[in-house]
Amino acid sequence: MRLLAPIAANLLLVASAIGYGGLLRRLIPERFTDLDRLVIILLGGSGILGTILFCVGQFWFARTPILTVLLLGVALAVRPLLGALRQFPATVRKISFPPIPVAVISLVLIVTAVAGLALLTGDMNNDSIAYHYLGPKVWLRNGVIRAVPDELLTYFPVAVETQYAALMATGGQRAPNFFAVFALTAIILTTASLAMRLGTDASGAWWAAALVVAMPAVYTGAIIGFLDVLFACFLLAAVRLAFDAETLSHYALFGIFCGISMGTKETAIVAWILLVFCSLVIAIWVVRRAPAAVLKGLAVSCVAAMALASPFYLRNWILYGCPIYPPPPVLLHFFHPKGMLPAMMHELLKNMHDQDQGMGGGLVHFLLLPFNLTYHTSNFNGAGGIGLAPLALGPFGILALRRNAFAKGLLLFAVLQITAWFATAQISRYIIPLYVLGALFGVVGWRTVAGVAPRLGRVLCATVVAISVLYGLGNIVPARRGDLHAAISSSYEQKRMLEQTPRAATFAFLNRDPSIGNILILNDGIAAYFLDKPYIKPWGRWGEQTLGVATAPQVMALLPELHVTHVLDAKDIHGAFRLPDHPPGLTLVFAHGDERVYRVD
Amino acid sequence: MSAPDSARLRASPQLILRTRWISLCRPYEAHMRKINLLCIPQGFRPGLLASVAPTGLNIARGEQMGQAFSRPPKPRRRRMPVLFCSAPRLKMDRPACPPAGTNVCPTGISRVLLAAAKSGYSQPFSMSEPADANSTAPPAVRAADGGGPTEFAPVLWPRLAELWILMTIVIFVFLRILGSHTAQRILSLVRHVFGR
Repeated sequence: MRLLAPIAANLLLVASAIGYGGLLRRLIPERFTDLDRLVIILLGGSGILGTILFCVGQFWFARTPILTVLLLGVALAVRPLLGALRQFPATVRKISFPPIPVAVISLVLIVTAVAGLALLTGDMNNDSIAYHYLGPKVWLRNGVIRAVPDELLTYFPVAVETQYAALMATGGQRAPNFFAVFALTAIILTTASLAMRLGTDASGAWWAAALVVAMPAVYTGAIIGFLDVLFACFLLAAVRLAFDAETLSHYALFGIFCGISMGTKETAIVAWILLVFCSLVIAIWVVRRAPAAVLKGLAVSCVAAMALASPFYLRNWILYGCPIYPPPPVLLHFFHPKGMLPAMMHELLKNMHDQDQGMGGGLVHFLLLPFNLTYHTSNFNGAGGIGLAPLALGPFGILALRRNAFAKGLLLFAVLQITAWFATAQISRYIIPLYVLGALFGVVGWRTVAGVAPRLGRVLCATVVAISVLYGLGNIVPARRGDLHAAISSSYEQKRMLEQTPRAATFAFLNRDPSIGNILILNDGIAAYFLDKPYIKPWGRWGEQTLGVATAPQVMALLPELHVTHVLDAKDIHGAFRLPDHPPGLTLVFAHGDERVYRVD
Repeated sequence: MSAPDSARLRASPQLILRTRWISLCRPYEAHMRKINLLCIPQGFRPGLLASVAPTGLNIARGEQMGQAFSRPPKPRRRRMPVLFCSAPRLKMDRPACPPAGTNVCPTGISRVLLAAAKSGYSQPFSMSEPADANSTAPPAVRAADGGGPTEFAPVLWPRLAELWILMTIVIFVFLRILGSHTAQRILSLVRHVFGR
């Protein structure tokens, strides 16, 4: 049961997403293939579901409203799903299954599915523990979706995190980890759809998908709560529609995907602007469409994008004083975000400076990006590489498709997007969409080189693809060995939790004791995600001050007003506790290592 | 070529091959069994055909065919041989049938090849079909996107492509395999063993 509930919750969520995605069916271009339609419905449904959950959650966020929203989506999906089931055998017969890429994709999906059933372990350095999963857990406990005051990054748009919350509510703590299977399936389908659009056959589409899922830099963006792969899918769907849109309904769909992307990550705002520009350029100067019609379509798309993204940004503006939160320095001239201390801005900017430099910011570094991204991907805060195919074969794909209007659009967007990325935040997983494009051009290049140089060229191309896939699998599978073991052995899972999660014993004590109610956490480095009880954290890791006080004595002075039953104190980075050994009004009830739990008398 | 020879050729199924890409011939392998003469361009190595052409097929070079087999008029074309001149053109802006003045191929073959291209042509650049709103074929054939391998070959020197790919592999081996900790340990072990 502990493993079935997460799987069932994910199936419910996907069925619901298909139901909501079906609402977009009329907007899909008529010439899109069945695969293209599936991608649009699946991704669009996921984005719409997340947005609806967010809107509902502003007023009431508990299991009942979540299940209502999910079941409504399932009701919408019943008819199309039954139709698809009837046609399933015929559809499967039409699909070719080249053995090697299918085996690679299957292996990655199976590993992800099994490993995704293990409980999450780690500390605040893990983004999911720090905020992706923390927000949903706190929302469900509080019954409403609000940013967590002690974690600045929970103010981000949360179209995917709301789905994590729905999964937690219906399938428990393991369910969001299993969501990685959906994310990887989405990127596989998106890649295959784009590959076919670029003219590859079914085999080429399979190979492109295999190259993408075997990229460690892509894979890490899909697992343990990272939403970068799903974000990449939303953005790539928008890219596809940006260059294939002809009628106003197509442009509206393009806008919807831009809006969903912006509801997932703030970085999509830049991508949206770039995409609108690229769509304009390609439609007018390459496809030679009437400028007035193009501008009208893009206006419709912008309205749709803003409408879809507005709930997330309006909420921030109304409740926290600034639509984009944490605000970029330039916005501080126009908005006055609440509770945004100068120290927090300083800490954020310092972190950005430290983390986002990647390989440097000069022109030479920019020109060397293809090389560095291939051979030194980890320098861009990315775990693992992207394989050889984009660098070795991609240029030939670009050459071969240089007269292709759609490919021109992709290239223009890729160049502008990577320039923006290079100038802002050089974090590897932020450019997963470009890695996918690299793999696509790589596969086209592979086929081209094999045609031009049939003997040695074919062998070299096969070597490149083999290296890419094997290197990727060699990174991915061993990295998930612990998760695989934990998923099938509960004793190992408990042992691992104690070993890999700081203060796991203390969390177990706090969660187990029914007399413990509200907890005051005095250390900003404690991962509150692991607490199942309500808590108050006076200080966050970015310098947040939720109570408006800076020192422990000041917090203790406020203790009667906080209505806490217990206080959790732990040694900070300097090795000192925040409270003295025998604090007045508190009784020590638990001590383990560097942690102490006091009962409020 | 004598007049009787020419007449004989016109009366029998044949295929004019104007490509150096043997991989592009593979979809037509079945149709090569239905013909009795294959015309290949000057410079094309017949050995490359061994894997796709049936044994006993008559092969004639383009220069032996005389005026009747001369290259069709191709505006904006370079000197590089193009694809099957009797097959559907691979570019949207070109006619989907043999150009006028080169009617050396029986219509039947053209139809066979056209049908093959529509049903089973699986190269990445099969731009031969017009846009079809309800088609489930790869979308590349639906869009008037242009581009294709015929445009590609003059730009790319095959050896250059091979050199580039080889270079990326070698760098990968040096940086990612020999540069890794595991490789370093193996290398020190090797040194240690041979040092003894």
